[in-house]
Amino acid sequence: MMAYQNGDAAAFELLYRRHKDGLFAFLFWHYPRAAVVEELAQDTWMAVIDAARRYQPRARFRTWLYQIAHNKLVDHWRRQDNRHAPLDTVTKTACAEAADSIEQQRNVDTLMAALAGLPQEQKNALLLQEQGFSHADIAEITRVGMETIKSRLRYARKQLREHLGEEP
Amino acid sequence: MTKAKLPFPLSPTELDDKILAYAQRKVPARRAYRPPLWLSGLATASIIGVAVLLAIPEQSEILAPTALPELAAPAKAKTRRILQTQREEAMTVSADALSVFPAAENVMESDTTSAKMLAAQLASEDLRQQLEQLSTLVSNGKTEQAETAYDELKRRCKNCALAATLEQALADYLGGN
Repeated sequence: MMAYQNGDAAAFELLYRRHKDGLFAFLFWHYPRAAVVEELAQDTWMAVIDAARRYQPRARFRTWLYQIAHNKLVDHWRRQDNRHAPLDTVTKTACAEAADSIEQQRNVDTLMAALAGLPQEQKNALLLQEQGFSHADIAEITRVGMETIKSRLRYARKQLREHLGEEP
Repeated sequence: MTKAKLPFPLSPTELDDKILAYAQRKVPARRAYRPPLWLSGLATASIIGVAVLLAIPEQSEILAPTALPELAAPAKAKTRRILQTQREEAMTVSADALSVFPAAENVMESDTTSAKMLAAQLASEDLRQQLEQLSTLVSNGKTEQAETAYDELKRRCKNCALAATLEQALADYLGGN
């Protein structure tokens, strides 16, 4: 990012290729609708580019990137006000490419539906953890305390298990 | 998360192209190197340090003519102390030694001679030091000040066998430096 800040466009391409799919998947897990995900991804990356000039490496780039993505998600939640999206809004066809068999597709649909049923903050914490972020990172990205993150993760897992009928 | 695995869709190529094109358009201009703030602070401190260092020799040069006799005083006192101690030791030894060893008187004399040589050496070093200071003044273009100080030195140290002029003295003692 520092290289891009100093006018190296190729450095940004390298950075983008490294993080683009992870971020896209993260946004997709939140909103499995291509149009919404593409819009959120585009907004996030454009915000990164616009902020490049004043970027200061206070945290890892990836943490900063997801912090921006989180802000975009929050804006979207506010606009849509769909904290508990109805299950039928989940586009099943969006997942089709990722699943190899009907059985797998069914599992994915069930999981996505279970995720969609979670409160946004809990879902966000869970999906950030799924992206490999630590509790501290999640707390930094979402700007809440570590204990709150732990609590959100606990509730999210509990609800997910209940929904999926899994043993704790 | 659960037994089922989350799908991992890839970012579409059209989106990639759009974002990369935007990044290309918005690439920040190469910035000229801007030194960090602490560097300018360090530079200021260095300049002040150099200014202080330059000011200190200036002050000591101004004081030099009057300070020269005072500088010589500790050396004289040291020499006097050494001579006194050696004389006392020689006298104490001589009282016993003369009775048992006839050559002791010669030893005592040689002790006194070495003390005198040491005193002469110290005085010579002190004189050399003073002449070096005068040489510095001459090098800095303060010849008149140096000559006044040299006259004062000659007046105070009549036994030093100093040359008539400062130039000669510098040539004799410092090899013309």
